[in-house]
Amino acid sequence: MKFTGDLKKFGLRVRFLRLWRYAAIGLLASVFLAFALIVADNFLLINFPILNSGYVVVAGLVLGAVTGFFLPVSELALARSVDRRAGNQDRLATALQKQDAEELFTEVQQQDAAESLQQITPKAIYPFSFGRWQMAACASCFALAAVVWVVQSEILLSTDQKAQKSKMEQVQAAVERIVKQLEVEDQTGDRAAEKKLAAELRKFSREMERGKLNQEQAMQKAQKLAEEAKKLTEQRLEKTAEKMEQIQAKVLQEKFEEAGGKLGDLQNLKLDKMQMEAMRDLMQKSGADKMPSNNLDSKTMEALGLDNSASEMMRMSEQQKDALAKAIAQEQKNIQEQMQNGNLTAEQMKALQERQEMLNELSKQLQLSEDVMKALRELQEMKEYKELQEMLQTLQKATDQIQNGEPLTEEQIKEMQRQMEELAKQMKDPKAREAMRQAMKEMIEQLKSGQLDAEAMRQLMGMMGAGMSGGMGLNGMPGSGGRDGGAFQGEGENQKGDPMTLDGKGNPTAVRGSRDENRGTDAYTEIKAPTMVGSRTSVPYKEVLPQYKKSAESAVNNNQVKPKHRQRVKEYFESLSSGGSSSGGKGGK
Amino acid sequence: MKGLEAAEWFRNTWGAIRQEIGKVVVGQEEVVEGVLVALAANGHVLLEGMPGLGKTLLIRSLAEAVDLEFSRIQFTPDMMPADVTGTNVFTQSGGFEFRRGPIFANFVLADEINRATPKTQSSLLEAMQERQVTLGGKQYSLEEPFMVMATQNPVEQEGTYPLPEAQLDRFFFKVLVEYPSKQVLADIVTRTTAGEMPTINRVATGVDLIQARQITREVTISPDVLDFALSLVVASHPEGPDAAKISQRYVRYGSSPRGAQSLVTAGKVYALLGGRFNVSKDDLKRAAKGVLRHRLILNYESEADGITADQVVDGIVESVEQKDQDPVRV
Repeated sequence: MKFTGDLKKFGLRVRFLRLWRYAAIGLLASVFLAFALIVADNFLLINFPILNSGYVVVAGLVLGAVTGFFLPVSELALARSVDRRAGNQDRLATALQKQDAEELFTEVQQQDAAESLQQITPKAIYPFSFGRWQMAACASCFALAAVVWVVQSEILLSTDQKAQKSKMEQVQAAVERIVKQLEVEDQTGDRAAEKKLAAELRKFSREMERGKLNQEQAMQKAQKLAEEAKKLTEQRLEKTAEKMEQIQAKVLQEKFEEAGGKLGDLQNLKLDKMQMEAMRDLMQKSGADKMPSNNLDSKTMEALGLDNSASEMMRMSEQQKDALAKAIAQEQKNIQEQMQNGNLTAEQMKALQERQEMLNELSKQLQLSEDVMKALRELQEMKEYKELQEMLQTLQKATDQIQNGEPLTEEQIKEMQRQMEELAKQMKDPKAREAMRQAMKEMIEQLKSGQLDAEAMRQLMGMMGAGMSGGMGLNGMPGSGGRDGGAFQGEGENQKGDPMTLDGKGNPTAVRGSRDENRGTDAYTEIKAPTMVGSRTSVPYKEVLPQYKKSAESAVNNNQVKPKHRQRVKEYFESLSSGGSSSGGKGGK
Repeated sequence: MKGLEAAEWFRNTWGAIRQEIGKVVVGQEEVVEGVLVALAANGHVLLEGMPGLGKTLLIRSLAEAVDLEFSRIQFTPDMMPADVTGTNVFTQSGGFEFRRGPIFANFVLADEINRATPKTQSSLLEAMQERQVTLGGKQYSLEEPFMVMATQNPVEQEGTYPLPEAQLDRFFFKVLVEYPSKQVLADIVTRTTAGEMPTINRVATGVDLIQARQITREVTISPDVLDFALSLVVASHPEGPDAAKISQRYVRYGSSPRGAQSLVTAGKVYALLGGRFNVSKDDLKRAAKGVLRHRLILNYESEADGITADQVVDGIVESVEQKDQDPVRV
């Protein structure tokens, strides 16, 4: 084909013209999209800062231009178009379509088409023009720019509104910083709860930025978010505690073996219900229950996997064990005699035999507990054990500290890491050592996260207190929770919730009854009553709860609480802990 | 003869014929062109116009320019088919001899054809289509080139017999002969009332005409342009799916396939005359009125609304053009 080369110049021109047209279309579409996003943002359906409209517009422009330039242009369509625009009497299209025909005029027609094309310039038939698309695109851009300018310049706001907006923006900026902090933290692993909190905070931030909330709503929402953050922190600390227990168990089990103990003995050291009752019965008869017992750390027992029966045996002193052994021996002797007398029925005989076997087993378990106790004593004498105990205490202290709203210092965190590293070095099994390091790393992160969440929300509530009282006129509004020194309370005027002002609602209610069969048949009386007006709470409830809970757990583990009441005690403190989150928010009342 | 030479020869020959005709026929450019296009396309022409507008002069001049036999038949209501085709007459020698009628000429002017009865009008059908005459069971071929140019008066309708559709369809072109402008009229009067009438020279032969027709058929037409021609014809069918709106409203019957053939052939002649080797859509648009105006049978609504066949053709062309958009949108 003689003119296809020349036709390509027209094709290029068409591409540029399409670029010009589609860029305008893309620009127009993107401006509409930007408007839609702004509206959606205004209704808080999405988060779209108004200045981001610029990016959307530029993206639309570029996308349109690229699309226009790379849209395919067929040769035949181009030839038809050139014919049409140049008044070329279908010369090019005919030449293209009939190029392979063997007719009288085929050759001269091709020549004629080529000559006709040489007389046409792309510029002449495809001129650039400022058409309707370009005009529409420019007009929409101006409209968008005007909207952005009006919003950004605050020209429509009064002086008071401007001042209020400025203050709200400061609070919003603070919230935004917190959100970013939370989002950075999110990247460390599975942090669905943090993500949710961050998203809600961001939404809250935008609502404040746009003045969507009134004073009361803002405070309510802030309190709600604070409560969620608090729950999050508590969950973190619970996880930390679990990790601590796992680490402790691993270390103790290894050290126990180093001290000559056998983990198999620990598993075998177990009494069934009958044996337990028999043992207690014999102890009572022998007076061993009134003798002093060993004071062993319940957590160590738990970490070694000892159950209550084993723990009970482990806590027996030498004196108690001797008395019990004698009682068992005496009992066995009595049974032997009864069996030798021969005046027994088959059933009585069988019962005596079973009793005999049970006493034998009890005797064996006592001996086993003696072996375990020996290893345990060795363990307690070990330097590493003491270090471990110290470190666990440090960790517990740190957890309590965070729970009480006091942030950990860098030095504290570094010291904890150092101690953990030391502990890990003492592990002999490389795999166990690595697993432990990993667990410790996660634990530290949990602690930090919990601390960050708490710290972030403290900042937020602090800002809310200042922002609301200054910008929104909520002077004197109690801080979230109203707890003295609580983790989520405001500063300044909202800093302290006065317990004297906490007047209760409703009347004291006494509930009497008896427990169900599973829990025993004791009669009880519960009195549910509000805080008495005029009474004075010297220590905040939340501060004493962990301490009391710890004491209760210790009492349960040390068999100071009867087995039938243990579950009840546990449930009571769990209910206090779970109810604490809601009572924290209402604590000021 | 190669393509370029053939095309140049065609243009020169036709230019010469036109120039010779132009010596005696003043103005009427479109009419002359229409007749010459039909001549090149091997078609017949129906001229419609008032008496005294030079129709006979035009045909006679054309015959003189190519030095071919010319005959004129003045149609009247009492005319019989034998008066057109000829008849067998008894001779003194005792046999019958076929006496050729006026149809046996190269150029036949059928003047005021609508004054003859349909029977006589239909005697032209075979001659126009088959180029032969059948009489007494014997066929007589007409000499090529053969062309019928019929005239009819649009105003005097009393005692006339409008041409049937089949007859009309056999005319390649229907050309409207308009009154000349004042300036042209002045020229006519000046030429015809002073001095001698100019002499027409022979510039082509019958063989040239036949060769010209062959060259015409060789002109290239692209599928796009052919599709445009077919679209014009199809758009004239009021019941068809591609009918133009104006056809649906004013046309009773659209163009026959002969209309499409005539459009393309006329387009080819216009292309050659325009110095091109391919038919363009403009050529087809140019030929559309001449080809289609007598092939469209309009309905009563068109008569009531005063819509002419030319207006309908314009509407059809416009409708087809609207669908034929620029394939490259920029």
